[in-house]
Amino acid sequence: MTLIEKLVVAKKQLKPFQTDYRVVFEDDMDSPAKVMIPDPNFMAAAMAGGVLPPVEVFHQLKIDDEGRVLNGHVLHVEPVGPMTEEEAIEYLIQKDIPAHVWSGTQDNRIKFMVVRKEQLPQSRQFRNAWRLADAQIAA
Amino acid sequence: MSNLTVTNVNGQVDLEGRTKAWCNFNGTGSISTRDSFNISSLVDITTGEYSVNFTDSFSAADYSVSGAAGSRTTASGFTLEAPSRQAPTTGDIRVSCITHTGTITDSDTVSLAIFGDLV
Repeated sequence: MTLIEKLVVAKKQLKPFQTDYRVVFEDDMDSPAKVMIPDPNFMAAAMAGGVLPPVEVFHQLKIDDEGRVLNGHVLHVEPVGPMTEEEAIEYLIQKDIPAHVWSGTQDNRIKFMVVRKEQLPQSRQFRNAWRLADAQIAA
Repeated sequence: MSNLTVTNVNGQVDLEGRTKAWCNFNGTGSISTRDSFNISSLVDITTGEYSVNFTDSFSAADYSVSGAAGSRTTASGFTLEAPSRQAPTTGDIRVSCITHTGTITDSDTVSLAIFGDLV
């Protein structure tokens, strides 16, 4: 089965899972912080297992100058097993957030944070000014 | 070991001509997806601007997008711009909700349906 066929089956058989986790990240210093909201059907598929490929394959996709994928077959490999809710969030971070946000080892500031949705500002009045607070540096 | 059973699937699923990804989400307050297919996550970029990430990748970035944005409480005259200020990729598309006055504004109902070939 291809990935989309597995997603069709998952959509029919699995109950969507609404996670309270959100991932706040900054991929551009000149833009407000972004918030990633996991999809409930994706979370259900990740936690059931047997649907999603290893996250590494998404980074192996080769795209030509005209925006076409040259090696899409890599997505249809043996799927990974069930994940915990937290492991599914880690998977999504690596899949949907730019790698320079989560893979950097030379930065001295936090670029992303996993939070509960209750920790986000309740009002969106100043949405365009949202920033990740600087981390406290321990002595 | 997976809990997912696939015994009701016999052979390949014919997906030609069908919507390959769709979603309906609330873009106000605590943003959340109401329902979807082939979507891995939403990204709340800023007021009225969102990115939709696909689980399975499209084979090219020239897929077709239909969409609408609206309000469940007022007549807002929303237009959904897709793509918005950024070229779509095989893995995601950025959209904006714009009122009839040209202001980018959060919308409580954003719907997208995407047609194209998957990898």
